Amino acid sequence: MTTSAPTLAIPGQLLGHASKYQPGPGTHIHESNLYASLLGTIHVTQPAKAPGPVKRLTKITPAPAPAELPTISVTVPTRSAGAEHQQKKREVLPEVGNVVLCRVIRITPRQAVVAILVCGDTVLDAEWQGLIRVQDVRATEKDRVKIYESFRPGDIVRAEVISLGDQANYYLSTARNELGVILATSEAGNAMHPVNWKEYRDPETGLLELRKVAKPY
Amino acid sequence: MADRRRINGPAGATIPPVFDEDGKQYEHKVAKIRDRAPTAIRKMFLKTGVTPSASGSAYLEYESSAKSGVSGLKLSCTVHGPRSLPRSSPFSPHIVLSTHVKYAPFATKQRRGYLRDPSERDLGTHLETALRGAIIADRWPKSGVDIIISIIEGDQDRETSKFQGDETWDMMNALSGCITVASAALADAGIDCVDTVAGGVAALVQDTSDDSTPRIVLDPIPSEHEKILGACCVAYLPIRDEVTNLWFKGDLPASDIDLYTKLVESGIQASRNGNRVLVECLGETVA
Amino acid sequence: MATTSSTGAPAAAPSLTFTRPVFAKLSPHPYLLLSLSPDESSSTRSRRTNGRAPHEARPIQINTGSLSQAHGSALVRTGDTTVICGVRGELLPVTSIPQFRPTPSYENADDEEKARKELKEYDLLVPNIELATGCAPQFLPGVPPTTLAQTLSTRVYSLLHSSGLVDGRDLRVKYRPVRPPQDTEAMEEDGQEEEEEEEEVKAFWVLYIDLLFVSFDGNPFDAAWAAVLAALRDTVLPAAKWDADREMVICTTKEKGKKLNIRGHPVPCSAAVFLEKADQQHQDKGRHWILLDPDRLEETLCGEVITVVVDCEGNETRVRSLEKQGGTVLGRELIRGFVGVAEGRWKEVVKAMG
Repeated sequence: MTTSAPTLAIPGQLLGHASKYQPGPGTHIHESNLYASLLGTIHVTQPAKAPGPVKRLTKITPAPAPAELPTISVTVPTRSAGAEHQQKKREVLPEVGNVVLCRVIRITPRQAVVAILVCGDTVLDAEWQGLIRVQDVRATEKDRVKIYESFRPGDIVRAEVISLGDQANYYLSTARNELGVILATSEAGNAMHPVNWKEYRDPETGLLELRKVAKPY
Repeated sequence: MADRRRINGPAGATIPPVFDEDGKQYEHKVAKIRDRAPTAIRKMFLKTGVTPSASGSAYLEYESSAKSGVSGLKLSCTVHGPRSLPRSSPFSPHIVLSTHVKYAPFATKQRRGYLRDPSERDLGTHLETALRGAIIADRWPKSGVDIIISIIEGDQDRETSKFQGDETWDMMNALSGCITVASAALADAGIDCVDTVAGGVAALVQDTSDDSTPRIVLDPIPSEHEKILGACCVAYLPIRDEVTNLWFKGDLPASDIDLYTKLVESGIQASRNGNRVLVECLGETVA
Repeated sequence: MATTSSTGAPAAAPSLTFTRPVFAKLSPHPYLLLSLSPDESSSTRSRRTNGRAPHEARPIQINTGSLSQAHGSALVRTGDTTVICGVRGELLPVTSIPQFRPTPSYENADDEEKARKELKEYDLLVPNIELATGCAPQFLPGVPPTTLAQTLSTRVYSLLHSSGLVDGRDLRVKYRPVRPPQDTEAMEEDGQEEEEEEEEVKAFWVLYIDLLFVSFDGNPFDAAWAAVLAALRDTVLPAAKWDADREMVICTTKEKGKKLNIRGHPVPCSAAVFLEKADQQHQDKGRHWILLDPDRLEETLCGEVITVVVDCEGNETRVRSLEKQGGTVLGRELIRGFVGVAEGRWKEVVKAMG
């Protein structure tokens, strides 16, 4: 159950003692008190429901609070008033386990370089670079995977974050049925339709092109 | 030598207009009167979201002085990020802050060039330290954030050219404004901060009217005072009760340590006043 | 999965649906195309993704004189594009102009033409556009001016000169020397003239026109030029005279300053052409839309851009400049029709200028 108290919080605002709540996103602990770290609305989530996404707090929280405490978090409201194209969301970082949508930038025999565009259902402002290495393309017959038979530059791919990677790249994987290419354009420049797990067809020319196709839901 | 990527104008040097009133008799006409109480700061107008395409943005304007020709500080700040770091930069477990302060060419009495000068770099460095103490940097690994401030109009008196040497005092006011406006823009961008940091300036001044005794005033305007002996700009977190950046300039008697602490305390007081405007503005942003 | 949740938007991609922001991010071209070409069955009209009709410009808002350090200033806002212009005059003594040739008489009929040449020859108008203010994510400081910033500065510069907006005679600082008695025999050549000495130009005002983008959402040229025009109309140069004893120009605040004499109201109107087919080879077939006053997203999706500068002063439309880049869609007929659209925009902008 989410008891949404529509109260506002400003960074630095005292939210309560650390023995009363578990810190959620947008909060921090200072001298065993919980404070807001973001500008937004306060939400208290009861622990009856599975604990909310307590993200990136491992470094701040001194010790995991007892599980029965409600989680308090501060979320940035979406400025949805007016045109929907101007919807403003707080920037998020891709994290291990997130399903992301990305565009293929370039391919090499060893990997595909992609730009991560959407993380979960949040459209990212910044472009984060990701890598799909040849061994992470599919779960079976990994040694027979060819990158150029799986992705082409311009494709839109659904993938999962498997590692924060090196300083520049997130490592992504498409080794699941529902992961892979979801939008592809043929060499003739037409949007194609998937026909099976490894092929897309151009509706105008009728030609088939190889891809690691994501299973449509 | 000239930057060919800009339009540079005539090859010969141009001279800013010189006024005949610059002589001595004019100085006496300028009333150097501060019409505010020593502990009062100027009214401020702060608004977030002026640049919709940025992650966060804010605009700050100080009330202009009653005297005509004296402009109030006008600042615009944009925050971009968290965004990925450039490929060349090494791994960083926390967010990398980069600050950039630039005067618009038309912001001050002298036309400013397009390249950053040392004083602008200096402002950027001070701003970075002030903000670094407020941001929870390890929430955003491998990312960077750019904080860019354009000073649209500086805090200067157009009429008097006597105060040629007072630019350092103007910079204090500019820095204080930069800190407050950047704090609002960071909150607008949704970057985790431990508290709202705001800037405040206090100065030890000597006026002609009440000769001899120097006094401490908050939020000084250099042209309103005969002489400024020392000033400090404080970046202060009110809830944490922490100072993240302190910039002190001037010539105070070394014997009087009390004076120094008093000045810093006054700076904190000015910052608290500024923080009130900031909190009010942020409240309106979410509401 | 989150991506399957549809918000009732007509965003139908093959085999799956996205929310509108996700669709816009993943495939901006089909997103705009879908919005512009709604289903035959539905009653919705062709709309852009920003909610405007194809020939609908954003309302423009102009404030002048808000900066006190500049001699003239303007703030222009159209939608999410905001630009500030500051005009500042500085003096250029003729001794600093290497190629200076004093023109003997300034009372001739062709004086205006001469003044115009001076403007160009001595480079008295200096417009510069700064985009690197973080006004959009792609414009961050710390790098040299982008190609776009350079192009915009140059376009403003050439339009300033070609439109003859500023009267060069306003920028002269003249001086009529008092002839000392012992000099009379030295001037025997022009002895048939009157006794009075000719006026001579001792210095010129140089106008630094600096533009700062606070927020950028497409169509920078129209906004920038509107700011230049409004700021120049607002500009008052201080009264200046040549002080022969000190050999320099002295300004005074005792006399009223000189308002610039601005000729005409040239107003640019830009549009981008959006094609149904995104890729190069198939551009010629398929439909197209002319999007007036394009925003940031539209500018990235359109290859063909047209700018018409019109001045409709005195109920007579004059085309002062016409620029077109890229593409093959806009022919003679379409451009002629577009001038009519520009006339409409002219009225809006001039009204906003007050």
